[in-house]
Amino acid sequence: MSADLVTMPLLEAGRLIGSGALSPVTLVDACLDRIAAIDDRLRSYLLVIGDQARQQARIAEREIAAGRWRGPLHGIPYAVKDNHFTAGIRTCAASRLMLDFVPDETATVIRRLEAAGAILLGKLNTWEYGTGSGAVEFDLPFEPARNPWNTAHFTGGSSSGAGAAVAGGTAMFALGTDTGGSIRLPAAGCGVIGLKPTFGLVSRAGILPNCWSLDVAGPLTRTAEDAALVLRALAGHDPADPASVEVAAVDYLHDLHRGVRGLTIGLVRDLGEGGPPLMPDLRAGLERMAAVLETLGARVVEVRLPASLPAYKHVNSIINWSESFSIHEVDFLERRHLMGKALRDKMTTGFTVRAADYLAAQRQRRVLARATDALVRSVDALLLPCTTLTAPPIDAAEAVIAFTRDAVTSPFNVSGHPAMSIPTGFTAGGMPLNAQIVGRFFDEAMVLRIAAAYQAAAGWHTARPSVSFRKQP
Amino acid sequence: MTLTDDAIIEHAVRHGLPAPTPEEVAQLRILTLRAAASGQAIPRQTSKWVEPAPVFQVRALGGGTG
Repeated sequence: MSADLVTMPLLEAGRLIGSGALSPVTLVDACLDRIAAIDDRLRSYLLVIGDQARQQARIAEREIAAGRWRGPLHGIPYAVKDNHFTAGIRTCAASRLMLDFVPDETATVIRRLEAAGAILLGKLNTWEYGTGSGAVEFDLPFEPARNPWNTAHFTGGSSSGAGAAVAGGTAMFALGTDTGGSIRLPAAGCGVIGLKPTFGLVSRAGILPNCWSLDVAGPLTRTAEDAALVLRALAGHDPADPASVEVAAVDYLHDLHRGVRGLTIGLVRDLGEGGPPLMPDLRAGLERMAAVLETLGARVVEVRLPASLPAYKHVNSIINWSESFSIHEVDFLERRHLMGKALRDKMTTGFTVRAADYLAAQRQRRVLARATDALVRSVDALLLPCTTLTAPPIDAAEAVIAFTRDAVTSPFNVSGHPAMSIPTGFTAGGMPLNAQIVGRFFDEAMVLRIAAAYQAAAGWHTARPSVSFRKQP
Repeated sequence: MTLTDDAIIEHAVRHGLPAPTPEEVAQLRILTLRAAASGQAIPRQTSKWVEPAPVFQVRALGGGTG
């Protein structure tokens, strides 16, 4: 029963709550029961605030009974990556450097969800500081999150707990952050939707920075419809974030189910010179998705990115290493013995980057962003791989690094375009497959519309992991 | 050209780190070479008029007005 409740589409749950047929207390309890039952294996949470969540649920129940229903997120339980500040609640970003840190401010995105009535269940697992080298070193104060489809497998990162929580049903949706793929990679690894909005659409105020010019916050959900609903609550100008852009508010649900007939989808099959090989199952999933969209009336044309994948990755890496080092320089110089190896290695790399290389990267970024934008504007959206591997066993160190290193996510952090990872099926061994949809600047509505059409036709989002029946390896 | 241990140690100390251990020197060498390889792989602009992308680059490219 509780698994059915916690995996219910958000709009359906919202309608039931709004009509009084479902109590937010019941829904929050169902999530907390699921956390109690399986999170010792998933490790999706670093901190569960059960008492506070139950109290908020009782308040929501009274408000709704009194006729003050705030909308479809009122009473819906969710969780956030632990780099989001929560006033009065520990925010440690999985780091020994911050184990006792209790902020006195709350991230704008959480305040927006609070205003919509959503109920925070707790803080989700992450790589240290929401970043790293791509390796899982097992040297942090918390065990790494596990993949609900097979708990011996990696989730993808850095929003590792967010991917595990949404796929495993320990939260109805989650928030993550993405500098080079950290929303899309755990979503891809765990078989859920991960949406990196256009740079500037969603406020990062109150989120521990990783890289000012690349960081984006966004949702992980089970469906495109859920993502549309959450993004509607998150989006909007915030003067507290200097990168926040003022654009007209969009109801991402309005055209969600218009279908794809007449749209032109640019399919990227070839990742260019130096691009990593795409696992055959993932290639087959990508082709199946393109065929489904064609069957639904879209025109699929083959296109190529304007530069090779390594050309984007070098730019992303140099900017990320440099800005991240600048953000955490004092910690690195004074307390790096408290850092895990993955973070320490990243900081050490940033320590050695020349200013000339950083500026060359930012100059080349302008060139790549313009060229990428020209490609995206020549079609309605791009369809391409997200990862080139499925989530590997967590103890397969080289494959874990390759899952992040060889992903096709960083081009759209470099360019700033909205990009979503979407499940496209499963391997014979039961691990999720994925693809990526990329839209024009601030055209998340188109990305969501294509995803909704595909999900309605393919139905992969209805599959559920049987994590509760698996044994911990 | 070889990146000597002394050069690595001098760079680390000059920029605020304590003198690295031999193991740390070895790791610094690996990471320094990785950063240098990425930096060298980025093409240089032949035009002097291509400015670095600003933090607000989406806005600069015509998206949004704020």
